[in-house]
Amino acid sequence: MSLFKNRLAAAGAVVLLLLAVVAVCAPWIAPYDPLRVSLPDALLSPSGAHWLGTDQLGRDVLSRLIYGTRISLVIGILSVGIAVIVGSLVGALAGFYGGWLDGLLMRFVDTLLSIPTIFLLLAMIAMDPAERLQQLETVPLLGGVCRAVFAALDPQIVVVMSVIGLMSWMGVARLVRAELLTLKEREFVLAARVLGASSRRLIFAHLLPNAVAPVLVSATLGVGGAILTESVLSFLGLGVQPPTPSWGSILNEGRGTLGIAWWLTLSPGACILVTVLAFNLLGEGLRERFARR
Amino acid sequence: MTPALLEAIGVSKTFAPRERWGGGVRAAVAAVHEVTLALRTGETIGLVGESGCGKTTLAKLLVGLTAPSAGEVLMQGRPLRRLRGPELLKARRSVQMIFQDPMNSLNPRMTVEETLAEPLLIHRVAGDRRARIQALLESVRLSAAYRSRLPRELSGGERQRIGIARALAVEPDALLCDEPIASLDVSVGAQIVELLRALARERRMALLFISHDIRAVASLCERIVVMRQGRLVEDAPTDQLLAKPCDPYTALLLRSAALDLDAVPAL
Amino acid sequence: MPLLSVKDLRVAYTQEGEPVRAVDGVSFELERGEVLALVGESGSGKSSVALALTRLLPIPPATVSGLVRFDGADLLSMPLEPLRAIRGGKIAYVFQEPATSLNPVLTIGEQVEETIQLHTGARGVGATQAAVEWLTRVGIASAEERLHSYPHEFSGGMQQRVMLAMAMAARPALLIADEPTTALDVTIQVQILRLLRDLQRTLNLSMLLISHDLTVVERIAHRVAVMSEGAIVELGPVAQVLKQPAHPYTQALLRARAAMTLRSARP
Repeated sequence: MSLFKNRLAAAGAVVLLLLAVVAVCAPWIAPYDPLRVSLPDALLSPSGAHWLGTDQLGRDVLSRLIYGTRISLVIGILSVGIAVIVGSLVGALAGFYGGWLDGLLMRFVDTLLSIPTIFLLLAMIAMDPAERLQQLETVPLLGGVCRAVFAALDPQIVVVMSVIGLMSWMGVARLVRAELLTLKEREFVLAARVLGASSRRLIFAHLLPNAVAPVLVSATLGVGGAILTESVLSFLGLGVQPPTPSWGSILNEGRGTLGIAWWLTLSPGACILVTVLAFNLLGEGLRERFARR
Repeated sequence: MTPALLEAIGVSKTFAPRERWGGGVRAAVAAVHEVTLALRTGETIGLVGESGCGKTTLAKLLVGLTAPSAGEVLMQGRPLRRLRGPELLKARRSVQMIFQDPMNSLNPRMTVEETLAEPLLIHRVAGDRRARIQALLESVRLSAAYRSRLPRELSGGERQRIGIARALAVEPDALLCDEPIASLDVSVGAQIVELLRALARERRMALLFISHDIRAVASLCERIVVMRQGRLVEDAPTDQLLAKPCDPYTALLLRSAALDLDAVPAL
Repeated sequence: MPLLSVKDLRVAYTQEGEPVRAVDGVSFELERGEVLALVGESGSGKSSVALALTRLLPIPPATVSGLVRFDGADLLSMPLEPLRAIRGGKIAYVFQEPATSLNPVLTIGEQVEETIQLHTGARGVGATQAAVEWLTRVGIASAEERLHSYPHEFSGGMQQRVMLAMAMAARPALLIADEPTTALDVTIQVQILRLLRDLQRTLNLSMLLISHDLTVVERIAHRVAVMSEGAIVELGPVAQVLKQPAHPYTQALLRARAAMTLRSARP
């Protein structure tokens, strides 16, 4: 694939592939149960038995990191997924119809963008959405969907994911709108209009597929950002709740012990670093590839 | 008399004055000014003008891509702006368009097959789609091997042929050609003009051929209309226009097209 | 001794891993005061030849080999400093798109004077005066005032005149014009070609004219080289080549032109 002309991007892709494998095969790879508490083994430094040592509760750090890969990747990818879907729809509507709809939507986007993300995140999470979401299960149709989703994912994760997604869709919306404004005037779109294509067909068959390139690049870079945001949230105690291991929560737990148990901070930190870097390199590689066309 | 296939009556298009960044106002621009033109079955009309004369705007007005500021565009006698939904869709089958830039006239992510299938899908044309696409490719002298190709694998001339095939899919009565050979090499352009001539004859299709090159227009069309700064300045049968142009601008165009250097006043 | 002597010029570069031979062994000579036209379709390599002569092609990824002798000096192996003095000086270029050849943030005066200063050593008032003279000579009215205009305030034709002024102000021995009128309207095209012809005659300028238009070649050039796929397939005096084309490719070009000639246009 011509993507791999860029060595760094290829390296990024390989790393991500490995992470995906780790996430999927966690139950088979992890040497210990990540939730198994064993106080006598607390704060052991890395050794043959525990490659990355143990935390304050004697849980094996390596196993927790491995399971944490799942959480971080799921949150990273799904939150970006939400951002892309919402952002693309809003951007497409604004770019395609123009006029007052464009004005309205873009002012809304501008407003959201001017609110500092962290405060909004904190405010949203402080409202204890997990509780409220679980209350949703009683609602007739929506409840069924919620129940299915919560069976697969911890509600708190769903909350974190949605919150991050809802904070990042604005950038995507602007990108998509900008792409559509230029694409709209391209002759193949005019040809489709002359043929009689409906607005729906124009947007979904012609405009959005061709607007994908910058969105894809932005999305890959966004996953890195989402993982970092999740780490921040967990670090602040607002993300994934204990005992669920996510890289951010492991970092959080290691906070007080930096002097005596450096492995508790270094290992999750290194994971975050490598993952975000891999996504960024992949994003750069994609950007180059699309720029060449 | 049966109504013309496509008719513009006193059509004008004015672009509103706009404020400019850093002060100043862009004056109102009358891109098209009170143009009246009719295209009847089987006619081949050439629309000639230099850049900025409004010919592309006029083309967009004629196919309903943009609405006139004044005047009326009629498709088979019915005002275009009154048509909606299924009626508009039906009207679209009678007039189609091919565009100038072969690089941009095809969706880069759709194969030739998908591009040609689209008009059939939109208009719910019954029958064997594969066979129809095959026939369309043949009518533009391309082999079946082209079906699975993407636009970036095609040359400019091939893309233009696909654009023509796409327009022919709905079996239009009239074809508007907006500078279809301007971006092509001369020999390729000549082939396209030949193709259009043959298709117009075979299908009894009316042609409105827009170009800045009066040579291409003269070789294809029976009637020529000259446009300048939004207005039509001359409208005459080709032979007459070439032999005895009425308007001095037309005469200038003819001398220029023949690259008659000695007719240019020396400095 | 000919002014320009090109022997076995080759330009190659790799595209997606495949080697592409843009210019495949081109040889020709140009005498003083002669106009040689390079004709061919897009992709035939004619523009690459023009750029390769003064090493204007970015050297990796391109590789250039062969012999280019200009006024006795070997251009391909010359050190960069003297080569730079020749570029824009003894060998001047005019390209197809004047809008992108001019710097949009500098006035016309600044740009023309820059060339004059670089290549003739004139400074201050002397440079300004020379600029005014040349702008007037290429047909720009009120040149003194227009020195303060910016490129975007000029039309395409006027921009191309400015490009010609910049090229000629350095008093080149050789002018390389790559499709100088293709992007212009036909009525302007004929004016610029007339200007080119007059300049060439009065200054006994040698010209390498690149074009896809055989009629342009007929009006301006003495000899013509027909290029196809990187090689010259036919070379000879214009009248002879156009009347009795030997190579099938030349014949195809002529047929295409014949298909689109104004029926009652002067030969």
